[in-house]
Amino acid sequence: MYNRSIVQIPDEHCLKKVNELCNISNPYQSTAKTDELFKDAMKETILWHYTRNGFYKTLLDNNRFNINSINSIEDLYSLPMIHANFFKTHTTASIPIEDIEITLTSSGTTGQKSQMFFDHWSMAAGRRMVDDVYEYNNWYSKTPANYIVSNYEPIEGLTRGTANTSKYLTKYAPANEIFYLLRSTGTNKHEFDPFGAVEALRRFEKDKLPIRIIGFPSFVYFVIQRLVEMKKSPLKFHPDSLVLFAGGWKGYADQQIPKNNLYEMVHKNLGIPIKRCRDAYGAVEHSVPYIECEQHHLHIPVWSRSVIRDVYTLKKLAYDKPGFLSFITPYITSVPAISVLMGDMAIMHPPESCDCGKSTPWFDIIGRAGISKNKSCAVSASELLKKEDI
Amino acid sequence: MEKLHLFRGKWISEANLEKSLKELPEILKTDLSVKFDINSLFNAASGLEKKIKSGKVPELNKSLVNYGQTEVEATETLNIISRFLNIDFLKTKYTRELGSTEPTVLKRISFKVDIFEAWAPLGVLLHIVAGNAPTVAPLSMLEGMMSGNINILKNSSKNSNFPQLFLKALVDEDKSKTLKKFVYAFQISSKHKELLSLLYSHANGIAAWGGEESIESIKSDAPKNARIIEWGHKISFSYLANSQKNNKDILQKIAWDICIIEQQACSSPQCLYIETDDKEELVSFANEFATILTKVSKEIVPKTPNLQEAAEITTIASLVKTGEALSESKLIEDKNNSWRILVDYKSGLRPSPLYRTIWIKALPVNQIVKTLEPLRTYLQTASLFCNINELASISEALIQAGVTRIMSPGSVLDDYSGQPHDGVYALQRYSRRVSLKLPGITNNISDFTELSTNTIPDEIKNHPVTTKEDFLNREIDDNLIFSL
Repeated sequence: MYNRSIVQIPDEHCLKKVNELCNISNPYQSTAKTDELFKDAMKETILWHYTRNGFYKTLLDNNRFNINSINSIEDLYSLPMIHANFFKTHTTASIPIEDIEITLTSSGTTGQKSQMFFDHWSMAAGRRMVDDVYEYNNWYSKTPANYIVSNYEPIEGLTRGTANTSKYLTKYAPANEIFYLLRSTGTNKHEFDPFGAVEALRRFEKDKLPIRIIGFPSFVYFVIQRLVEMKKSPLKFHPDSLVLFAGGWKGYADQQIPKNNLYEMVHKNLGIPIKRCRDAYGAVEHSVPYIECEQHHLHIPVWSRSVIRDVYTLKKLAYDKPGFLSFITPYITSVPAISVLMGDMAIMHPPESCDCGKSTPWFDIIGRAGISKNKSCAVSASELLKKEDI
Repeated sequence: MEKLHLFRGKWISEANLEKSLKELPEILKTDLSVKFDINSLFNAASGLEKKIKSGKVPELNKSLVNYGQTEVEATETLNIISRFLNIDFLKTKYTRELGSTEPTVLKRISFKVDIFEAWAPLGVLLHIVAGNAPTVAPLSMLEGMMSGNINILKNSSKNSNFPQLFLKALVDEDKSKTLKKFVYAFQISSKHKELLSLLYSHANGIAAWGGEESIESIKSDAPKNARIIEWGHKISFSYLANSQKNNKDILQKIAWDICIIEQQACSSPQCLYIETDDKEELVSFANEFATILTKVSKEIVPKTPNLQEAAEITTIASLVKTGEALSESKLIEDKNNSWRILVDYKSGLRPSPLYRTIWIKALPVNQIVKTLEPLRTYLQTASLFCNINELASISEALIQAGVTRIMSPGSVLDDYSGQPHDGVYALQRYSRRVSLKLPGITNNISDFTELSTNTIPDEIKNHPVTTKEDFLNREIDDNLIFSL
């Protein structure tokens, strides 16, 4: 049933190893050979951006980075990183403008919006990774499903990355009906519609079809809360139903509940097995998908590597220590987002500490990094983000 | 009993908290008719000042140490507070902010008209403080008392119980036993909504300290007609005239302001503006300043930022470093990571992640107002240095831009009695200005002390009457003449 798509890489010669790495369809394959391939692919992509992007060239030169110093995966961790926030305030591309297929913005938790350019390859190769993870999890289905999409209802000109992803995620089972939690008001705005959502859930229950709930956990939580308050729960959905959270709590961090409690809540009120409730992590600035295993752990797929870095020194930390989350991936050709320091703090755990059997490490997000609030009486950056003149 | 809750000047236990809060409305109704006696505040304050200075209230030191201060810092905190308790300080503050030391007496505003005005308390003033500075709660409460209000403190547990201990020590010094009616202090978690709503429901005014989010939430919980006195977060910076860019003495002082207390005060500079529009001049100045900062930083023992604060510093430093590749910024870091300079060729004011992190930016005088406009209502102190012939134009531009306080480099943490705070006098904000116009009745009086039925205070009652002879024979007190 799964026909892996063939995606054309911009330059088969310069990016041979990148192509080869992205052609691995088992998301969690991890061998000495894949390590070697990953390293070679990174060398290709570094050269790709170095020779096509003046900013990136200066960045590497300023840091006296020498591509010939890369002899192992470990060496890659000395590649200069770009903080994800950099892409929120700068636009830089390594491809001609006419090759830009899509420009995505991040959903703007803190008022700033990222702008990232994707050429056909970067977009399609990223999406194929999601396909591979779905296939790995056996989530492709011919049975139609009803969808609750916890994201913005698509309207003309919507460029938010998460909205885009959520829409994409409705393709893995034929859609009988899609209900968006953030509905278009018809005037370029969106409004959260909890009443509509409760109605939709009750209607979907009667359909007896599996449902798929996709997107921001916050609004799903509010809908279930409403369902309980209105005494319309518990509902009982098909056991093949699937919940995939992505995109975080957005502006509702103060009401956030622990992930496991949310899964419990979904299970109790919608009758969906906890094993079929998963969280995902991703960012416009680093579009490799991280999707929880059935033990609810975010494993690193074959197409990227990740290390946690000390918040004081940026040095690589050992397993089980909290620090900045950083990623390396060779696949993005449009923007030099190949070694990215994220705005999140996380802890990396060794593969063997998860019972799912995957042989790659996994991480836990523990919160935003560097949004310190109200410590001093001086106004903080997070208070001023919207007013900054940048 | 854990000393957390002070009810009408007396300790109450956690177990009695709810019961006492429910009795509060009736008590307040009665106590609102009690006139605040400024002299009893003066006496209690003097008494406590003496005790603190002679080290007789060790539990205050102890609770500050529990809060996380070193012995030296605790002494410094108590110094700041005892300076405020000094009677001359209090009197000057009254005179500067409310016009006299008897501000509640109705007085003619002019002898040509029959109009009388005075200051009166708001009534019940609730103080909600953040957990970032142990001096804020005691001083805000003192200001509330000076304005004659019944004061209720909602302390943050992060401050330990220092404010409560201080207030208890103060009312205990009051021999008239009237001050206690004006003092309540509680440590109630924000989660106890019901208890908090009891506090809120009585407030005629709320002194709200903290960041925008906390002030927003206070506003939404406050009674709709209560006056909210916002003491929000502020941003400060230094401005150096081009003529002073090589003034080593001043540069050292600016460096001192950056290093001392790790820029934790709202008056600490977060950006150093230099009067220029030349990129090269800016960079060479920054390099020069780095040498001075290295030297000064070594002299002051650093505090280590916590994980979140360190993450913020590293994030900004990383972005500035990346910006070098686009020639838009430059990072100059100390070898030991004890300070960092963020040179930015864009002039807009941005908050620093603190801990000896300073933006250095170019800003010609004629661009000051325009550049600072986005942060206009957040601006507080500009530490300024320039020649006298440049002073008028620069200070004018800074004030036009929204700055409320201009101080010398090296003295941004100083203040003086009666100095306006964030552009206002606190005592006025904690008071009502009242007027009386009854021309038919008030024809023959100049102010309402003439109508006072108050008995003469004890300390004056027993004082012998000064005869003309006594007066002429008095020695001339230079201090007295000076203070006049």
